[in-house]
Amino acid sequence: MAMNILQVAVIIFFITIAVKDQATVPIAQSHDQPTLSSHYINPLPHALMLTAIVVSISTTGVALALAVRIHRRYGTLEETELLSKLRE
Amino acid sequence: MKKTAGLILIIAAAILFRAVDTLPTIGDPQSPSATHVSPRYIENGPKETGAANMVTGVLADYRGFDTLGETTVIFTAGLACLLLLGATWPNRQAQPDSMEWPFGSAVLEAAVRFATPFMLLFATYVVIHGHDTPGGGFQGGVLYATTLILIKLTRGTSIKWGPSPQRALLIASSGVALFAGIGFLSLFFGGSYLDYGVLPLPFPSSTIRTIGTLGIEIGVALTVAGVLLLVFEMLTAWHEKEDSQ
Amino acid sequence: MLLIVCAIAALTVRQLISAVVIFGVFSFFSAIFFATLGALDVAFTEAAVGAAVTTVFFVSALFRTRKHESQ
Repeated sequence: MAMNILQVAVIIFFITIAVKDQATVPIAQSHDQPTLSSHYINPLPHALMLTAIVVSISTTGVALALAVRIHRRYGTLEETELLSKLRE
Repeated sequence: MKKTAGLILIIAAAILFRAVDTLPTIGDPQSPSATHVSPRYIENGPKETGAANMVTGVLADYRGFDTLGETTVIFTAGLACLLLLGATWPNRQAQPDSMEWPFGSAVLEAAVRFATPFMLLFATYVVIHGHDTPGGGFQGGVLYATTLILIKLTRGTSIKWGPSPQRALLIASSGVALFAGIGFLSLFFGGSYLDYGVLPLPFPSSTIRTIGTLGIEIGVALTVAGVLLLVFEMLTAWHEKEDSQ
Repeated sequence: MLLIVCAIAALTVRQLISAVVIFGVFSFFSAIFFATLGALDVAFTEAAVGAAVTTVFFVSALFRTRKHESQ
């Protein structure tokens, strides 16, 4: 869970890189007029961050699967009990 | 152990806080992130890709290979969950456990039954219209999975409803195959991998790219939905306690 | 600022299920923050993922690892 919070912090960092003054959301407002780069914020970090969010779901899912498996095998998730059971 | 971790944390936080002062100011139009590569994407993006949503255009067209890698990552995570938790396919015996039985509340059942078609329709809209409005493949896939998970949660996981784990795996693999298949298709017609411009359809170039993008988004949505369903099934299955192994 | 409060609360609460709920709230607040900064796609994805998927996964994993689960 702390990993996820760190992930959100990193994503916030990247998104603030992409911001420009007085520029709007990176969706083209009309199909005919040319899109000036000073009117839209930078869309590249957004694409990277979508990938990052999806990877964080995957990591969370696998971590939880691991935790459930450990609990099934050893019956507990407490670190001290696990260490003592592993030493047996 | 915890004290040294706390000390390292404070030192790292202090270094980071000092480093933040040296970054360019937020919102500066002349900052390095806004002047090298991105003006080309912003100015030529909607015209070349036919997608008004520049983020989807970048993600599915300019950087389509990254999206393929990401789809592979999420599929691999689903496979890893399957390996970890699926020694046998979950047997759907109705054990007297609180997640297996329905909630027993008519209000919840009625609300879910009312909301489901709208959620599914919205998920389909998000996938298909992702090149013009915020959205795209991932969001639609997550919404699909959320709808099905909601129904499974309120009806109890012992009811045989919705895709079984085998079928969820099939959906996920078909999504990845669709994505990679569209890439290979453009290889057959003489372009590079995932270069949709060379497909011989009787449309202008930006429309062909839109169609290719749509195919890719559908593939990604299928993969994400399948994997999330699979992980949910694995996490909520009932197993007898295993003593050995 | 509210984000920082939520994050610290999620990590220091005693019961795990309260931590999961606060983490869902943190995810929602961060989605609103992304939308304020102008990243709509990221906000949409983060709201869908963090609030629905991550919370459900955590709760089901918590449910399956309770002490009296074994038979």
